[in-house]
Amino acid sequence: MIDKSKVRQIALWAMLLDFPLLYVGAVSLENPVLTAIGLGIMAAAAVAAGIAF
Amino acid sequence: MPSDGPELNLLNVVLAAVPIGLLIVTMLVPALKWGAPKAGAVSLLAAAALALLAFGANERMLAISSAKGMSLTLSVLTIIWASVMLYNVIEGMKGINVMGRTITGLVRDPLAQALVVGWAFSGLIQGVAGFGLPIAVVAPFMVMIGFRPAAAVAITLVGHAWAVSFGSLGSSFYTIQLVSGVDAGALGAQMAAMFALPTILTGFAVAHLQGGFSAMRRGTPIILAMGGAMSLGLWGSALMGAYDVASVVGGLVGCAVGWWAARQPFFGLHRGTEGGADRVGQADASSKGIGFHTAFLPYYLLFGLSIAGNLPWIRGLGDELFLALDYPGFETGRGYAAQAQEAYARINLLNHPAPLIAASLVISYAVYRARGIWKQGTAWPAVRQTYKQVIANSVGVGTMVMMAMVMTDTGMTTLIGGAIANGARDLFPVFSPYIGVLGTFMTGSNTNSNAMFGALQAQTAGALGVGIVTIAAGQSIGGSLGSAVAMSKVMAGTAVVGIDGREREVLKKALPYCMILVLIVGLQGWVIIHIIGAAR
Repeated sequence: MIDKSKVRQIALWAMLLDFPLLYVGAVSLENPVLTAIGLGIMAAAAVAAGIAF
Repeated sequence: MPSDGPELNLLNVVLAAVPIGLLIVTMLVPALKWGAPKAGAVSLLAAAALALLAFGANERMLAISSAKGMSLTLSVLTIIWASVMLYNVIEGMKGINVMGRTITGLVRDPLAQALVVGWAFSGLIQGVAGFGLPIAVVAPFMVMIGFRPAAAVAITLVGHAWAVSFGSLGSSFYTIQLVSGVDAGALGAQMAAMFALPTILTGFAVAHLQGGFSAMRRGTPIILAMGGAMSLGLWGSALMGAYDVASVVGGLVGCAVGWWAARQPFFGLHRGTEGGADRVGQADASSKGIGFHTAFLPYYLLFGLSIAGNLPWIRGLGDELFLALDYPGFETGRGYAAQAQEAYARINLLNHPAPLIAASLVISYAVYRARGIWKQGTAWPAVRQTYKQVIANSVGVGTMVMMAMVMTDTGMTTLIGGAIANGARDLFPVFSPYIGVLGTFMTGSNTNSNAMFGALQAQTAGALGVGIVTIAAGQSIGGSLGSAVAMSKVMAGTAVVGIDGREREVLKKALPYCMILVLIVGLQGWVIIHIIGAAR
């Protein structure tokens, strides 16, 4: 079982690291797959934040 | 009213208000008491779902808006990270106590301290740099001189709010002038005159935060003296067309009058101020190797670099040295057009607070090393402490700013603003400043609020036949006062004073003052339009 402190850090790092993926996927390459992955990671980070904080 | 985008009807407005409603309810309802990161995350998910299902966004639009939110987030977070690190390094050098004792020796009465530091000085910093720097610098400073952290943040938030529209070297003023299309001279003079009452009232609000009604009564003479001087400084500068330094002038004269008045028996706050210089000596002598000016060196440097960074030729050079991304525009399935943005949320390397704070820190480190007073083992504990302190706030700022951008880019925010404008009708001048508050609450920036709602306010004023200059001024003043409750600033404040997770407590302290002050601004606008009869 991962403790809440780790999940909080994971949520932050996921948001930060997902930023370039979102930009490249949606703006630079306009690639629907990368865009969807980027959005999925951001949604997962938000869910993790909603649970862990 | 919006010229494009989703239709202005009850269902759309209610749906558009859901994310903000969730955010406010989950943070402020005592039974829930959610922290900012949790409330922000849930509100972001709600905004994203509504954007996709009800407001015509697709995955790419949602990703672009989220990425824009992250650009804006990094512009804010770098300031928070750098300022928390700066504070922790000085704390590690044992400089905090020295600064606290010295300042309390110069102006001993806590009410005078709150007014000089939390009201006038925070406005001065806002005038010089803005972009969250007053919170990053003044809130920890107030903790150093003995204020409780939540009160220090609330006092700084409310205290600096008078200086935002003409602060950041006039960026908010120039934005409202551009988007509303009114004459700069007329707008500047009227906005500065309309700022006089809220400027003085923010002083009374600071006094009330410091010590309740008795502090307001006790502080009335000094508040009127300082507030009058600050308002005259602001108004005089605006009359001369010096919009970019109006808050600087107001803050400077406020500090000078406040420091002088706090030592005069007439104002009743002089007890204990005699012998202030001795106190400085005592503080220096009692510390081990680090004096006040040495401890304060990073803040001296920061102040100097902020001024230097805004000199025209350095500013021009800085305009070429920045970190930012371009974003394409798009139109949602409901017809709302989000504009393309070039160099969005730029971090100018020569005048954004984060690089300036980092530079102050590096130069201070070099000076401390050269003088042999750098304490070995200060840096890494400060880095670890900073990392621990900023996690929750970083997630909170990120989720809330992304929520705001998703709402803005899909027309939800414009719908809410349009509903207020449409519903208010004859009372539009009263409620119009609240639209400014909404913009700043959402984006953390008076400038962004003016960019978002300035045209809407001017169009609505034109359609209703009421004074556009007065309404435009009210929008910007509302946005300025809304800085007291802007979530990104609240979270920056709680992070720098080490009380992250207590945003609700700070917001509950600051919100009533903001709402009352904005109501007074609205009533002032109504009187100007309907009683005095402002035609323009």
